[in-house]
Order: sequence, then structure tokens, then C-alpha cells
Amino acid sequence: MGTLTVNLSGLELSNPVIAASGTYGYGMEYLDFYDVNCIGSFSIKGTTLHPRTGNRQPRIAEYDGGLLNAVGLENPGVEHVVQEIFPRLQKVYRGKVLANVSGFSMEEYCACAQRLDEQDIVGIIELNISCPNVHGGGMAFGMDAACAAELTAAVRRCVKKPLYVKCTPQCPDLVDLCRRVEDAGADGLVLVNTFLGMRLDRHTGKPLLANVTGGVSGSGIFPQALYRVYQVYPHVHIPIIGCGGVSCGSDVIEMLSAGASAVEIGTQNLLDPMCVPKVLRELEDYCREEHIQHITDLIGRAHQ
Amino acid sequence: MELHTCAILDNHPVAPETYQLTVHCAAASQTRCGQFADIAIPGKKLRRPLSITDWTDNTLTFTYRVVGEGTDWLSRQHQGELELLTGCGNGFDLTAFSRDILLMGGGIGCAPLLGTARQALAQGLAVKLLLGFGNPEQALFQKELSGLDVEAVYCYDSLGENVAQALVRLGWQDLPFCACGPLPMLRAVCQASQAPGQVSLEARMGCGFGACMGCSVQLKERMARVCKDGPVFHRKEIVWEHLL
Ligand SMILES: Cc1cc2nc3c(=O)[nH]c(=O)nc-3n(C[C@H](O)[C@H](O)[C@H](O)COP(=O)(O)OP(=O)(O)OC[C@H]3O[C@@H](n4cnc5c(N)ncnc54)[C@H](O)[C@@H]3O)c2cc1C
Ligand SMILES: Cc1cc2nc3c(=O)[nH]c(=O)nc-3n(C[C@H](O)[C@H](O)[C@H](O)COP(=O)(O)O)c2cc1C
Ligand code: FES
Repeated sequence: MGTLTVNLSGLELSNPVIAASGTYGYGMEYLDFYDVNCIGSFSIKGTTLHPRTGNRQPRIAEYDGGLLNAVGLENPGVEHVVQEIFPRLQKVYRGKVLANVSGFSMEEYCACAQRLDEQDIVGIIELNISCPNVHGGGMAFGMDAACAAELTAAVRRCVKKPLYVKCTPQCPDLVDLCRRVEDAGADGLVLVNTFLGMRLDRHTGKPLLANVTGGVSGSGIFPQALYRVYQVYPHVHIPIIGCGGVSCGSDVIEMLSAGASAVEIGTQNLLDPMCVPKVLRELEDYCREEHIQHITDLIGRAHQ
Repeated sequence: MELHTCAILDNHPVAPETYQLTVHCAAASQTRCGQFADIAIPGKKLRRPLSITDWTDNTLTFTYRVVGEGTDWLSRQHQGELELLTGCGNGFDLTAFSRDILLMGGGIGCAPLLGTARQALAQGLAVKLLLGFGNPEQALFQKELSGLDVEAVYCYDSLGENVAQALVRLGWQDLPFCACGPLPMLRAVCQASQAPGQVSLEARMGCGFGACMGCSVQLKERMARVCKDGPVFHRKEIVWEHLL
């Protein structure tokens, strides 16, 4: 077992760095920059049962701490992902992916998750109940603990692989929701998705995003995301993947210390396509300098 | 696509609020006309996409208009280095042209057409350009084009003629074309012309290399990322109502 190796519900990853859904395409967009097999794993773009065209342009805005996006779950639908994309991905990527599943109804989530669960290349089902950019779906499930638990239980019944639930920080009582999602059969949590926000054009005063609001991500949300992981960790018994604003090796160390077993990096990949190899080098250096044999020794040390 | 740190060689005004920037870039030779580079701006999270105006084996030249903080910062840099993501996008497909090519540009959308004209000449095509600007002061590339074996026509809104109107006046509606400029101009030339054509689109970008779907637009039969599948699309793929 290497210094950086981590284990998520039986899935062994060579390191704790996972690329976050929606920021890593289907893994093939980074091949110009490095061999993507160096990454712990990555989460595929949020996939729905049927294709979706997403929101109108503009979908992206920036702020000093990162980005706002309102992509609106554009994806080609689960059949296309399974039949066209996975076979191509398997030619270049030897690992397993997290399959990010989104939907608008319980039935839709289940059917989509089931199809992805059958695929060899899928290691974990990541249930996205936290997308802020679509109406009547996604985040609606993530705001209410009872809805989230019911959906988790339903998807749990139709998939065999580990099921991780990706939560929204907008949820008024995240600790309670996480506990109930664990009771409903989740094998892990991903904390957190984007924060809801907006920007206005300084000349016209009108929203910069066609969708008006978007999901705020990037280093500017790191302290808040870290706090969510710290807050939930003592109350659950399942692994947490920390996500939100992670941009460098020391952010990864902080997330693990707060209680995360692995991290997801999103926006920083978009801003710096070489981010993953840089972060991995920083983690190796850190472990060597601090005489850490297993990076997993750091998990939750903020609470000790 | 590649990340490069490029030394600034030159950056001078060429028209009101418009500058031409040349950087040293070792891999510049891999460029295709109509491609763009993404330029990092210190203190800004997103890189700014700029079309390649022209290139040599080891230089890249851009022509840009100051419209906000990023391009304003850029206009004030005269030495030092810039971080560039180069080789972005598909570029114009000149192999689709056999004899004639018409290059149409509107305003700063003319930026990629100089290199495109040069490439088209190198391929033995007969090159015509139709370039539209707000007024004669804003006109670009007059000197450069006068040294090339091309027929270049300029038109100006201030003199009462836009690109689509000039296209009809010149009777060039049957010439296969490449076009770049604001959406209303692109739509107008596509409505005026009957010929096959390629148009270059713009979109707000996140990554610039295909990973985020931030720049996706809806085409007739598919979703396409302007940064990776584009920015150049065949006119018959475009549904203007989806874009405007
Ligand atoms: C493929 C492509 C090629 C381009 N080529 C050129 C060129 O050759 N010359 C030129 O002058 N301009 C070009 N543009 C537009 C140029 O990218 C913007 O004018 C520039 O990014 C504005 O940055 P700013 O910081 O000055 O403005 P701000 O308004 O502060 O920009 C804020 C954000 O909006 C984005 N943005 C602003 N205007 C545009 C726009 N029109 N299109 C896309 N994104 C925009 C910026 O990239 C940034 O993310 C091109 C755009 C694209 C997509
Ligand atoms: C452009 C973009 C697209 C995203 N798409 C998805 C998605 O499809 N599904 C999902 O669960 N999260 C999506 N996210 C959220 C990220 O996976 C991540 O949770 C969030 O951005 C916070 O992490 P970061 O600050 O490292 O980016 C998206 C984020 C961005 C910036
Ligand atoms: S800008 Fe990210 S996919 Fe085009």
C-alpha cells in the first residue's frame, strides 16, 4: 500500500484526489496535458436518463474566488454515455469512475443509476441531489432530509455498487440530512456541491448568467466546504469525500484533517489543467517532509 | 493544446481601443487559421480567448479590442511574459474550398482573417475579403492586405453599408465563405449568401479545452462546445434562434 493510497467502500484508489463532476468531462479532455491514470479517480459529468441540452448562454461567470456556472446538466443521456463514451474511455483509462447520477423523479434516478451500476468502469454511484441549476430536480431532493432519505433508499435497492450521496450546502440542516441518508443505506457522502449565487453586469445591472443564478465554486468556497465536512464527520460512520474549493495540496490535507477520506477537485482543474499532477506532487512532498507513512492517518485529526 | 509561457515581443495600438500583440511561442507552427489561444490575466480566474490573427514558426499575433478589465490589462503590457493555452479549437477547414474563398468579418471579428487569407493563398485559392467596421477609423489590416494578392473590400456602418449589404452589392453571394463577427452579422450574411460557408462563433468560456460544457451551444442535431468542437461550424448546422 502506497503512502497516498485510500480506500472508499472497498474501492482502492492510488491517491485521494478525485476530479469533481462537471469539471473533467469524461476524462479524455485532459489527455493533452497528462496521463489521466495518475488521478485517484474522477466523477463523470452529471448524467440523466434522457439527453439534456442544458441552459442557455452565458453559462459561466467569474468572481475573485472562482466561478459561477449554470450549465444545467447538459449531457447526452445515460445510453449514449454507456454505449459511446465508456468504450472510448476504457481505451485510455484503467481505473474506475464515479458515476454522477442526476434526475427529476425517483424513477428517473433509479433507472439511470441502475444502467450505470451495470458498467464495469463504474466504481461508485454518486447520487447528485444538489444541482442548483435545474428547476424541479436535483437540489430539490437535497434540501429536505425526508426526500433525500427516500431517494437514497430507492436507489440503494436498485444498485449493487457503493452509493455515495452528493449534498448541497444550501440544505438547512446538513447534519440531520446526512445522518438520515446514512440510515437509508448510503455508503458514503460527497460534501459539497456548489453554493447558490449570482453576478450582475456592472454596466447594465442585469444578471451575467442567462439562468440568473448559478453555482458558486472555486477556492473562495473552501472554508465553507471544509466546515461542512468538519461539521458532519462526527455524526456519521460512512466515508466523506470533501469537495469545494480544493486547489492545492495543503487544501487536501485540511480536508482530510476535517474528516474527509478523499477529496474532489473541480474548478481548479478548469483554471489550471495541470492542477492534478501538481497537487499529487505536493501531497508526496508533504508526506515525506512530515514523515507520514499513510495519508489516511490524517483523516479526522482535527477532532482528536 | 499546450500551455506555454510566452515573452511579449510587441503590443501596440492599431485602431481606437484596438491593439495588436505579438508573443514568442515555440510551438506556434502547429497553429491552424481560425484557432484561438486562451490568455491568463493575473488576478482573473478565467483565461481570455483571443483568435490567432497570424503566426510564424515561433510567434503568435493577436488583434484585440479593449472591452473590460482583462483586455485593458493586456493593452498595458509591453514586456514580460504571458501564460497561454495554445492550439485551442478546430479552426477554419480550408480543404473544403477548391477555387474561390470569401472571408467576411465584422469589427473585431476580422481578427482571425489575416492569417486565414495568407493560408488560403498558400493553398492556391483565389481570396476575396469583405470587412465591415463601424467607421473608417476602426478599419484593420489595410496595410497588411495591400501587400497580399487578394481582393479586399471594406464597408462601414457610418457610411451606411454593412457586410451583408455589401455582399449583395458585390454579387458575391455564390462564393463559398468563412465568416467571423457578431451573431446578427453572421446571420445576415448567411441569409444573404446561398453558398456553403463556415462561421466562427463566440461563447463565454470556462476551461477553453472541452471539460466543463460552459461554452456549449445547441446546433441543429447536436450540442457542441464552442471551445473544442468549434469555434468554427458549418452554416448548415446552425439554428440562429438557438443562439440569438
Ligand atoms: C473563440 C473566441 C475568440 C475570440 N477572439 C477575439 C479576438 O481575436 N479579439 C478580441 O478582441 N476578442 C476576441 N474574443 C472576445 C474576447 O475573448 C473578450 O472580449 C474578452 O475575453 C473580454 O475580456 P475582458 O476581461 O476584457 O472583459 P470582461 O467583460 O471583464 O470579461 C468578463 C468575462 O467575460 C468573458 N467575455 C467578455 N466578452 C466576451 C465575448 N465577446 N466573448 C466571449 N467571452 C467574453 C471574458 O472572457 C471573461 O471571462 C474572442 C472570444 C472567443 C470566445
Ligand atoms: C462547470 C461545472 C459543472 C458542474 N457540473 C456538475 C454536475 O454535473 N454534477 C455535480 O454533481 N456537480 C457538478 N458541479 C459541481 C462540482 O462537481 C463541485 O461539487 C463544485 O464545483 C465544488 O467544487 P470546486 O470548488 O472544487 O469546483 C459542477 C461544477 C462546475 C464548476
Ligand atoms: S469552455 Fe469548458 S467546455 Fe468549452
